[in-house]
Amino acid sequence: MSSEEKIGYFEVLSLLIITISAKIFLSFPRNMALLGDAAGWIIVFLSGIYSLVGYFFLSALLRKYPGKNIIQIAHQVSGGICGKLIGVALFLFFLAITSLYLRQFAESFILAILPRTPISVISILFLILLVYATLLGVETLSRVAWLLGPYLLTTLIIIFSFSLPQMTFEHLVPVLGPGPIPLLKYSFTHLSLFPEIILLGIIAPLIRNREKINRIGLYSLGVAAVINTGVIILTTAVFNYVETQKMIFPVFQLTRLVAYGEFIQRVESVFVFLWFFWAGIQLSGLFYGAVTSFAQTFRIKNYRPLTLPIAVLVFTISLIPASMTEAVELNDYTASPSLINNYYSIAAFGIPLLLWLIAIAKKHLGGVTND
Amino acid sequence: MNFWSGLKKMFRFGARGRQFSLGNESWERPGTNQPKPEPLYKDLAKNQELLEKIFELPANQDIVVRDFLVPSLNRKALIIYIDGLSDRITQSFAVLQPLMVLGPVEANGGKDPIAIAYEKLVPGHQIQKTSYLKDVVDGILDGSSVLLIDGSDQALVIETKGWEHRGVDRPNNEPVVRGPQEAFVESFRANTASVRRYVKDPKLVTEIFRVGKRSRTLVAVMYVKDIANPKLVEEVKYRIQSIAEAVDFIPETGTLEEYLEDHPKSLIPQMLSTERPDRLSAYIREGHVGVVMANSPFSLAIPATFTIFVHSAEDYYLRWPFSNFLRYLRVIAIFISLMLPAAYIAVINYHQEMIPTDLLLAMTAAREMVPFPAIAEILFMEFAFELIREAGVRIPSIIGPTIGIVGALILGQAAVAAFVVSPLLIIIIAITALASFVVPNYNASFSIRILRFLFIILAGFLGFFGIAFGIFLLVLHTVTITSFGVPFMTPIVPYQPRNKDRVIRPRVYDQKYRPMFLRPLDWIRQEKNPRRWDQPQSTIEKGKDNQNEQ
Repeated sequence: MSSEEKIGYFEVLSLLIITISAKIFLSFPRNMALLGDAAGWIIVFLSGIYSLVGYFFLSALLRKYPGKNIIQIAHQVSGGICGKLIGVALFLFFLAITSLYLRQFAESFILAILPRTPISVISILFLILLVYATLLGVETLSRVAWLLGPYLLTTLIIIFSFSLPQMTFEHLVPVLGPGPIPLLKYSFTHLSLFPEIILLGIIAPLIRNREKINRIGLYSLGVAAVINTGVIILTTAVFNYVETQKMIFPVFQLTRLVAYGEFIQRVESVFVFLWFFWAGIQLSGLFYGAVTSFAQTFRIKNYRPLTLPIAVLVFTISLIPASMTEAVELNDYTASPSLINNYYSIAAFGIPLLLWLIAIAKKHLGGVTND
Repeated sequence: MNFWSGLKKMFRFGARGRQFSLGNESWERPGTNQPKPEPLYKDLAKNQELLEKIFELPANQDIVVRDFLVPSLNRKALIIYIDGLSDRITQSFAVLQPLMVLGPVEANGGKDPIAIAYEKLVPGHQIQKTSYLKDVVDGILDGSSVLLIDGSDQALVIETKGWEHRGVDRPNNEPVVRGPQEAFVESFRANTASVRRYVKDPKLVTEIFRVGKRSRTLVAVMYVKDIANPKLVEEVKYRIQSIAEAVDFIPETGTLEEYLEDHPKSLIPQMLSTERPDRLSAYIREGHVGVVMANSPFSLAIPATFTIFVHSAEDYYLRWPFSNFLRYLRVIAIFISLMLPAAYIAVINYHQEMIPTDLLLAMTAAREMVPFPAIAEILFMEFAFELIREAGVRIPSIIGPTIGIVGALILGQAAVAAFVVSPLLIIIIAITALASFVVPNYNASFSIRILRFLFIILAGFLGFFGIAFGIFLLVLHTVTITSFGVPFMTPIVPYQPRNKDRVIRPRVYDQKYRPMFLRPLDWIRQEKNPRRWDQPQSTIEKGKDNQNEQ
């Protein structure tokens, strides 16, 4: 049923860019400032480059097994039980990432505009959107991304340009932050800055022209890396890194700088739209990933009946952190042992690497080739 | 069990594959099998009895059965027609007189008398020979006269239509400043003829169906044979034919629209109903299918997309900078009429910091005496405005001007004076009302009116967050729905780079392609740049036609 869906090039591209770069609205700039002081942007940039390398394995797999998504490939390459394990790992990844982002976005809305609204109301409204979008399918979702994407990007550029006068480039000094070696190390251990690219592995079979899949991944990672790096540079240059470390959602503070003359002031509430659409598209994409990866793992043909139960699961998990600080700190790579963080990188880049290695090994050892 | 079936229904929601789409290759509709029509008798008395039974004759007094003798054939005959629907002069001079008085004396040599009458006796200009009861009944109901002659199992349906009807008038709901000032009317042939006048293409096909088991209303499906996608045409015809015998009465294209739609439960109209023949024919020329219906001054253009509802008939009659100005105005108006009251509520209730301080003080001062919350005020005023609007439609035209006085003075002035609403709110409502009249389509403005209330309520609950939630849901919905297999938001999403006429209208000579989302058979509308004098001289000399480039 879902194989009838077909997604175009621009649609997937915008969906992936939005999905990968949505974290800029959360505590991502803060975490980078904590990690790399003034050189946070270098970490993001380098890890973007690393993730391009990591993406190579995913792309190689998708090229090797056209018309299959990553879980079907796992089933085929590593056999039944291993494939199921890998599928479950991916499902858990999507589940965790959706829940955590949901919680953080909900917290950010509460902080920004609705201070007296209970968190469950906002989460449930978001979940209604996610369930509806997932029932409609990824075709609809990617069309929404393509429809809204240009406007979202324009709005982001407006925020950027209004905060340009406030930038002081001295704030980017010391340029190398903690020093070159830690930077290289951190950017490798923080591959988890771009784990959402694995969504491409889930929706790849639905893309209309197969030749472009590789390009889609590269472009989306590239554009998202540019956006993420730009945001880090901006926040650090505007607030300096010590201040950024103290802010929970620095981009929200950036929107407060948008002012023109006497009349347009304190319009940060308007940027809730930007925030909301960006979050809605990203969360729906990740939620779709969670639902379909579960369905694919256990070979359920119609994923639609799974949406409601998984939505309940996401809601429950998103409420586990006791407070906002706790929810934010789960992504804080310096404070916690960053189990989640490592898990993200392993799921998004380790699994394709593993599958790729197995596939290569099978080919060379003369094992059963399945093609 | 009910719960489970409901749940199943819900989860099948949005499932693709079952849906009709133009791109879907493997798609076949079952043919509609018509029952074999009932034949006529050879005996005139039996036929007369049959028809009298069908038309409930002794009781039914506007059916006229005139029986007479045809001297030239020496046979009994009768004509049957409906008084008031048939033109008496045509009847006496083109049917009765030739048959009874003028006919040449003819030996009745075994030939079918109806055939002789058809060839020699009846000089009417449009005569249909038939041997089926169904055609006879339909002909009589259409206003034709039916001639039956003893000894023949055939009948002549002689076109004598002529009833009192309204003449072609100016369009009431879609007026333009510049452009044709002509609207569809209730008369079927006048409508099809006016489309024909605007399209003037020998390939324009008008296929006529009757819908409604009892109402037998005439419906014409009009398309240009070598432009419109045959699959689209087949689907339109299939849907019309399949409801034709299943439904008793279909009075108007509005009802037909509801039967034919892809998503009848949606709030968004999926067909364009227009009363302008020039507009309908413009869409027919593009590859759309037009549906014209008897007794209905509104015709349908199928399929319709979002951009069509932003366009108006005038856009292509004005020069491009002017019509683009209007397009921008219209888009802003759509946004205002959808969002302004909701945004007002959100700002007042949740985001007061956005308002400049002086204005905020003025607003608070004005609101100080008003005892209601802002959302109650705005719902009250919106409701009052909807009342005025509906009353304006229903009110007898003699006392029409009263509405203006009641609306403007009493509701506006007095409500403010009595501290029921704040003056700023009156401004908001007035702007919204003006904007909602700018929306060029009546159906589209309906959905905007209803959605406005939903947005007000959402904004009342959650401020901008609620509005954003509503917009996201709306966008998800509009992106999903289709109109006869064509995605509603195309050419924006799915993106069609070749069709540039989305919101901004490109210059006429820049639009080389017909709408690609309709998958027309001939997708080139014109040469790449028909203004040859604009091109560099060399390209003309080489005789290179840009048309060959694909």
